[in-house]
Amino acid sequence: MTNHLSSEQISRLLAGDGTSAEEQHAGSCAECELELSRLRETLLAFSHSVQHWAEAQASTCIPDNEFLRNRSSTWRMGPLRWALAAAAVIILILVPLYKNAGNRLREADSSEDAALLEQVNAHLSRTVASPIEPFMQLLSDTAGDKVGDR
Amino acid sequence: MDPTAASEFIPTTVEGPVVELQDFDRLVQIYWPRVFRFVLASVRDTDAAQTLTQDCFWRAYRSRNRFRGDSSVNTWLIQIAVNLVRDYGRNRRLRFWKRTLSSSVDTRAISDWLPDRDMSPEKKMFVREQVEAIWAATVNLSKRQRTVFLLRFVEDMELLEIAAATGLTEGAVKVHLFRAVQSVRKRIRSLK
Repeated sequence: MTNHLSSEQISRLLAGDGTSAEEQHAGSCAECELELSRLRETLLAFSHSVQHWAEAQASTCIPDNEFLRNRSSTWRMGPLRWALAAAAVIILILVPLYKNAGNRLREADSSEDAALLEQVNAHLSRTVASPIEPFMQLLSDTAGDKVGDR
Repeated sequence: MDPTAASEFIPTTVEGPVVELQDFDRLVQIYWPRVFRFVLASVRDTDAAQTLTQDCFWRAYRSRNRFRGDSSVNTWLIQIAVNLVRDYGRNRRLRFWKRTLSSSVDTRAISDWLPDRDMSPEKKMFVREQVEAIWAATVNLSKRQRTVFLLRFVEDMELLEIAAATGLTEGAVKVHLFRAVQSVRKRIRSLK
């Protein structure tokens, strides 16, 4: 068994969780003090490296406070955005419905047109004038009777 | 006095944290470097760090009226940043990129920024290797251990400040910090 601080005790001291006895020992034992100061120095070098690195990166993206104002205006535009989105959705729903209704009306019109056209065609395809049609009918009936008598 | 330096005092008691919030433009200028540094060291991606830092100040700006000054402005901002970094880690869409990033961490990048102090080339090489080892070790720490480690040793925050920023108890901060230090020391020892 040694009188020096264990690895765990040194880590605890670095983490700020050492006991007063451990801290006292670290202050009086040259070997433990050296170990702790080496670790602290390494951690400090790490800290400085990260700081310099971050500074170099930050210099390429220096904040422009305008982003807060821009975002603020974007934030205020939020409800308007929602209203526009809702209007777009309503339009998207209503346009197909309107189109369907139009199609149905057009189909009804075209069937009416077709019926009318048929009537006109039938009228034009007559061989005799309409007042004579009953006589023509009578004649054709009489002719039929004669054929039957034979 | 440079308030952006991690080891130096941030003048919160001079004006008081609530007063500080009244000039938000100035507050951004003062605290941006610190918040950006913590976020960058946590996510290791400049673009993501910039976006998250901007989000941090945006959230602070929106909730500035609810800030009562119970903690310093720095602790309050770091608290927001810690939450953003945690959410960034949770974001499923970014997991792929996170994996790619963690598997290709350029440990040399950080040691390139070692302060150019009066050191012999051998000493400089030695410190450089150790810094690279710490940087590599922090990748394998748990999220909480990494956060606590960076806040303590890069941002130079006190344990109680870390507890306030992370929402942990002081005891829990000590435990996470102890484990983080143990992992880092193990990595450093492996160099010898």
